[in-house]
Amino acid sequence: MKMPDPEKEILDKLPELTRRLVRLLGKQAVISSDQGRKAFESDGLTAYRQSPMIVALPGSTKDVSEVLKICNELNIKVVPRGAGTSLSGGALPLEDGLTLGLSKLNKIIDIDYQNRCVVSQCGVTNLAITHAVEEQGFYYAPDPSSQIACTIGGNVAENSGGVHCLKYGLTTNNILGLKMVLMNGDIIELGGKHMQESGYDLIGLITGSEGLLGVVTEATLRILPKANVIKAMLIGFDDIEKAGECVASTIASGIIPAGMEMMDNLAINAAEDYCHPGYPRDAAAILIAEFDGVESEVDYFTERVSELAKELGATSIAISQSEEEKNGFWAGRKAAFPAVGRISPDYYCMDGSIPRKKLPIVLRRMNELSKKYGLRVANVFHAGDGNLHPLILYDANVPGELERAEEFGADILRLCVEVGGALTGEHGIGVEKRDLMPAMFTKDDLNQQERIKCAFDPAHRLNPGKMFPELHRCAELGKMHIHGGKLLFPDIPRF
Amino acid sequence: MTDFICPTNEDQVRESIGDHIVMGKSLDIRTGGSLISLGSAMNTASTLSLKALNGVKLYEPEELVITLEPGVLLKDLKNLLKEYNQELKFEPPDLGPLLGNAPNLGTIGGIIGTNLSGPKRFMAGGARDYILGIQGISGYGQIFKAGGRVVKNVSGYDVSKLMCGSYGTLGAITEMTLKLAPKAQDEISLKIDDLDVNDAVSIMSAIAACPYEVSGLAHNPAKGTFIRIEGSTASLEERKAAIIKIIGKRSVSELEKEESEDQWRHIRDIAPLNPPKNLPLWKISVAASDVIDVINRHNPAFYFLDWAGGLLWMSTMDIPKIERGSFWLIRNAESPLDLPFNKTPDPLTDALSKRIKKAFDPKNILNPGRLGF
Repeated sequence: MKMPDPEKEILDKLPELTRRLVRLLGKQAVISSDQGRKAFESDGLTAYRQSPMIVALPGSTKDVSEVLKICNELNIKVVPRGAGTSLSGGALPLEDGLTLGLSKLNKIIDIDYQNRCVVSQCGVTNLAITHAVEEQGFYYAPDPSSQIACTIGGNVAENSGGVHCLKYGLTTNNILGLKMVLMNGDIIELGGKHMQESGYDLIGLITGSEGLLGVVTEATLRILPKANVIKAMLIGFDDIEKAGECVASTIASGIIPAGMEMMDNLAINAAEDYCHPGYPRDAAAILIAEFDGVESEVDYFTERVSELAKELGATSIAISQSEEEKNGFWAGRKAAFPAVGRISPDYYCMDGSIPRKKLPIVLRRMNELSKKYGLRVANVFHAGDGNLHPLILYDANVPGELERAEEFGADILRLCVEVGGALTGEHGIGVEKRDLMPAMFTKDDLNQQERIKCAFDPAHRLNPGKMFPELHRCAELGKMHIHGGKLLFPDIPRF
Repeated sequence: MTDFICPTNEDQVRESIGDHIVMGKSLDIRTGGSLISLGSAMNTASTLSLKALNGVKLYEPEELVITLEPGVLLKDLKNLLKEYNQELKFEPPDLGPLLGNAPNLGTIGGIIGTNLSGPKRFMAGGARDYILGIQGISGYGQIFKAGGRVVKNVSGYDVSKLMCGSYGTLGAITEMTLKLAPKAQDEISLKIDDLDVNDAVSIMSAIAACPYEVSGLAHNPAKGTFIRIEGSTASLEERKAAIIKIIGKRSVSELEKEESEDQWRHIRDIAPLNPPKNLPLWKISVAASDVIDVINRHNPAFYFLDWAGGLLWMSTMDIPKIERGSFWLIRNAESPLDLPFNKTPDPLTDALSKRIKKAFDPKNILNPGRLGF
């Protein structure tokens, strides 16, 4: 993966930049030693590493704004970073870039039960929001697997999902307000505790923009009352396609579970070996479905889904009878990634999204690809919303295996797009899938996206090298070609 | 007299926008036109109506997705979804009659273009929360798409949300993909009589803070405080009993399904509540904790509350005085006053919005001025 070439003019400005940052933030908050910088060299996508030129750790929105003003003035590239758990290389540093670490903005500013929201700084972890409000019976719905570590700022940047977004939506559906800083230092406040904002939906645009448009420093998050009854089901099938059908028929029958997950045989056995959740080892696939609400509703749904599963020939059906049992059903799913990590020296986690009914075709083709590349693949799947997480097993010490795993992964994502899906369901494009964007979008689509970038950051200083396969100058993107009284479209013959 | 252009396919839309770019002439982009009085007044060379683009391009009930052209009538869409026991969960309103038009003229393009949502907004989200993908023609005369047709998709910027509620100022939407929801099996409503507005707001907040998934919380001083419960028939009684406990000793009655549906349709579409025509009608989104202050500040001749207290509709001569929150002038007084459509944005957000507009429409020919720029 090629990153933009380091710019000599930027590297030359390092002494001045360092001086000014130290003056602004103090010595403790500026990291320039080799060893210190190395700690930031990668994020959750560990195959890529690059020490940043320098790291700054501002402690307030105002400081973030001042740092960005300095960088803007000196034309320095900036890579924002929360907890560094991105799986797509969104926080991968640049050799000629400043990494803007936001971990010091770690306070919850306001908890407001009447308006059912929390105002939080960007460096607070996802799980800390729920911890702060659970005593009063509330929680924050988006729950990415990394929720113990990942931050709200990162969640906004990536529009994080999780197991429960099937019923409660992604980050974008659970945000009421944002405070963010543009590359030129402008501090913009959007929304608040009210539900709808007039003007353009900038909150919607910023959420999922992967740190390319602005640095989010504060968010107002919607919190939800926790259901009185939550039950999970564990359903085994001897055929993965039947499991897929069970998901489709559940949703088609008008039942939206709080979450609905699938694991294939390889993932089931890896989880059993790792933490013994009691999954049926011989099942081709298991479904874990969760239902929440009042008791009568949860009972009604679990009964209905049991019937559907029986009709499809489920080999085992269990409904949790206690909190412990429910957590047990989930334990293997939640530990699926580390569990797979134990059966292979390395694994590469993919994140394609497909229409649910295409699951059988995609699984079949993925099997063929697995044979072609000679690499095993374990499947963990947010089945309810069509989000696949194939884990490609490889060994980085075997020459060529990483490259093969990457090619395999790219083929899987192209397949997802081919069947009507998307390159990424929740992990983001980052550097990882940047060069695959043309598989999903035309040149005109991408140009329009880049023009939006230009409205926020005309010099491409904020997180460059992510999301877009090539960078165009904003002046070039803004041009229109008119000739002989006609608008010219280079790609389409008009006459 | 302005030109009226009514293309029947996407290429023709593109061609007419292209021609207007070349001529430097502006366009009033609309679908059915029943919401055209929303937004600041425009003075355009031509009108581009998208109402003839009215096809359902894809409907996969089992996937809960639908792809529509903008001119599809809401009433037709609702009937189609009903056949499969599905619905748009954000409850798109029909504001046509409120704005002096016949009922049932509203299109999906109008709803998405203006991001209008009904009473479920506080628990289920708004129109913007149900849009998965979009295709349109920009002021560059180019077709662009964003998003897709799957529920989970973070590939590229979420331009679909940006387009939703942009009042046609960023492009002509030619296609949109929406997420659907299964229709609730059953519904009932409870009505509490004679609450003063303070009590009503605290009751609504208390119920919204409980996990009974109520799908409507509204207070109309003339009629009462309404609580809607939807879901599986099996669960309605249990949830109703829990809510009645919260209501306590206040006088409460139950509305059967049909009566409940009527009541919420009135709250959704506003016109049946008869706001006075001699006064401007404002829609105001504020935190529920601020809403009493706003009411007291204005002492409006007519008002009611929706979205668990987070939405205030009121009729007053003066511009709503709110520190935090947003407002929309939905209907001007019969003798129109010179009033703004929205609250003035802060200068930085305003400047950013103008840069975004320019990124889509550098010649400012698409609905120029409708959002004030």
